[in-house]
Amino acid sequence: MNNSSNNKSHNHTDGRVFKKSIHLISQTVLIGLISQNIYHWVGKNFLVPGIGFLAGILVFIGLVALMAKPLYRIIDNPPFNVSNLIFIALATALGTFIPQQTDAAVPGLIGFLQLNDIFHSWWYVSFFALMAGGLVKISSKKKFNLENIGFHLAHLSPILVLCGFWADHFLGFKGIIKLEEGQQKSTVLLYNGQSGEIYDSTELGFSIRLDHFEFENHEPDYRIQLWKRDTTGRAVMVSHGEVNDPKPSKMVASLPLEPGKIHRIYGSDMRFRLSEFYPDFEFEYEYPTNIDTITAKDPGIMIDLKTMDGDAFVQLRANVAGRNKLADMVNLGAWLEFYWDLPDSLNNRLSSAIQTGFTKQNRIIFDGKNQKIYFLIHGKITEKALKTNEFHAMSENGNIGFSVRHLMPDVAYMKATPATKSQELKNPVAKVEVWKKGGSAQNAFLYPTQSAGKGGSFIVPGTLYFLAMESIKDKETKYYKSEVSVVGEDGQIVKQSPIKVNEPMLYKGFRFYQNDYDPQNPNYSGIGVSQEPGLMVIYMGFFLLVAGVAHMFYVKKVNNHA
Amino acid sequence: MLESFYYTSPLFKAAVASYGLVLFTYLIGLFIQKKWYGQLSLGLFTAAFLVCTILVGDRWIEAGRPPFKSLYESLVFAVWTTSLVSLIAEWRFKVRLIGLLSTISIIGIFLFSLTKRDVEIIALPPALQTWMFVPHVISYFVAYGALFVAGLGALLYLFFPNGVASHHSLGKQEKIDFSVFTYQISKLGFLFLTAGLLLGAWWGQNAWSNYWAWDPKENWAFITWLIFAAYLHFRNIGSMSERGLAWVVIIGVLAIVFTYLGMDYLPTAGDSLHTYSSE
Repeated sequence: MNNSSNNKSHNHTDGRVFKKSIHLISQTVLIGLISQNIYHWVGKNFLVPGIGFLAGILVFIGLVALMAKPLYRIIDNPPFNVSNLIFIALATALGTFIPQQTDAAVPGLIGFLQLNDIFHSWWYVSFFALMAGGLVKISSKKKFNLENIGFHLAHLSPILVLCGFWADHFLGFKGIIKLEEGQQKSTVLLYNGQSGEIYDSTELGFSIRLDHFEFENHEPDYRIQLWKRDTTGRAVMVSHGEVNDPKPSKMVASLPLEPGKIHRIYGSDMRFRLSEFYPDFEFEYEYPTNIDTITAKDPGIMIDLKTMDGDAFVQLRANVAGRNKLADMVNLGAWLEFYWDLPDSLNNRLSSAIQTGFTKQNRIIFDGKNQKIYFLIHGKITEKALKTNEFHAMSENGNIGFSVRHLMPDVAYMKATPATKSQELKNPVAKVEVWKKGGSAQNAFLYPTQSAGKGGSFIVPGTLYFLAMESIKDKETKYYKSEVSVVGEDGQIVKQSPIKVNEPMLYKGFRFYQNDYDPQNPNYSGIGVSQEPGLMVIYMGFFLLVAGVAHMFYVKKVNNHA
Repeated sequence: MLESFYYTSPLFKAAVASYGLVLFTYLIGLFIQKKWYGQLSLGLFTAAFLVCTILVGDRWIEAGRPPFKSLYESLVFAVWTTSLVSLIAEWRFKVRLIGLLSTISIIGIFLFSLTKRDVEIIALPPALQTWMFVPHVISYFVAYGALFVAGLGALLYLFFPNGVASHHSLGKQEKIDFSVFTYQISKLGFLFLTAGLLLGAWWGQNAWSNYWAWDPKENWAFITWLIFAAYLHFRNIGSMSERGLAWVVIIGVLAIVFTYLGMDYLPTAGDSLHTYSSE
């Protein structure tokens, strides 16, 4: 009975303290609001640097002093501090629902209540000031001994963290030095840590030189992808009159390249397996050596080109309209033309001693039947025998030219076998067998999306699925790194160091971070610079907080048991 | 979901099947109040946890990095830590109801992970290539697992304010007080939550020269910490009823779920550095 009435009285007292706590914390919030608005108003109307801040602080201190007595009495009371924790939680949550720092000076109620920058508002900071005050008084009233060490550490370490935080805020800065390779700068552009807005600059007293910058993507990891087309997606009209794509296809499986492993396609009788992977794909062509025994039914010629734009391979067909000529789009220096039987008019002109009737266009004419090549270069005709695998240089240094790989009276005799030129991942192609359970297999060649166009995919017959081969890993950045030198005022190098993400460089109390890079400009590096005098204090606070909580929860208990 | 399940690894399927069996055993256990049956359930739960350990390890090896990058990977890891804490809690407090509720939740997490399954394995960006990645994530997920189990304890308190019998006492003597259970597990969770929060700040300083950026995820991690700090203080000062305390823990768990999965719904989420890569 007595216990019950004691509890009731205890709860009643706590209820009163909670009410009073909420009242006092609300008053502090109001004081913070009024003071900050005075700071802004005075700063705006009396253009003397610092006067607004001074006015705001004086008002804040003055108003808080009016409630100093009740505040001091209650500040170490647990219900007061728990209420304060809840206030902080609610205010922090509010700051995640309202976009922050959208504008420095937002008019109206949002601006007055500082809701556009809650985390830097004076009323929000007031919660932490109250917390710090409460923790100091709570800790000072508890006996300092080994048993209570966890309690003291857990309750005093947040003050260390707050002190470090405020030291950084008032005495430190964050900035960036934007450098191109070889450039050196001593000026740091200062920016707001949250909005990223650059507001000022400062001199370091020494320079930072970017000696070298590099970034690298991850190694490619080609995989067979199984995609599902979505037939439920409907085209949607968008505002500017275009029609959106229907719902995009969705990748349902990404499989490592394991030749021979059979995969079933969900909800169907279809199966597939990788039968071969060619890292550097090419067809190996084989043609009968004695071409004289083959009737010229569908003549063709295969030519390897060496051009300024790289190596290429073309096949011309004499009897297929539009495919017996190749304009000089590959910068070889001449058009290519292939005839099995030279047209009479062309034959007459080529065999004529008088070289007339040709345009100024350079041409290389292949005569299949007579196995000759005519070079019409700068209006002059040169005739050579058409031999396979003989290189014809088109430039003095031999960097440009061609060679005939095969002369074919009938292309039907050509045998093409998939092969790989090397083991380097230069032109990856996967050969996949697809079949219906119990049926015969068909081959599909998959290749990745090229910068110039789509990749080679394969629609699995009778399903919504298609197969593709891609690597996404090599599109992700592996690392980026700046090699920098610190150059003193006398021009001497005083320090050299690499700077990577997660591996900042320290020099004279400044920290230099790898903050930015531009994939379009491989010479650019953004080096973040910060001066944080409170950082070590914060780290110390972190460590002591964890140690204090652990001691309070577990070590103290063990001692008690002992 | 069935299609997604079809394309998961055999290990994932084995893990789901194992936990399914554990759930079945716990459900049957509601009608078999025997000590040996409690031990059998716990044994099967331990076996399922081992399968989950292999699943996490296999992903670690296949990805060539810690498997915490995508939401799918983190959900599988959440299963692992929740299992770990549940096993410890059940072993320590001998209460089968926790195993039952944990297993139901775990099956739920597995099913949810199927909707977030990342088909491709994503590489780690430079900021995540640091030794701090592993302790930070592990601290957080142990904390989340522990506080989740504490939340289950709080829920059980609301239904059984007078406690339930321990399955090792054959329902005769020993009673489990879910208020004490919730407090003990919350303490463990809070310690790891504190360590995770501070490790994250330390890492943020090294990677982005910012230990605290008022990022929505950071803010909600802080809010979660404040809620559990308030719970521990409320409990110690004795100014709140046990029922009220249970509700504070449940609110804390909801805050964790929101911190973990709800950031995309916030208007301030656009600038967050803490986003999971997922489908």
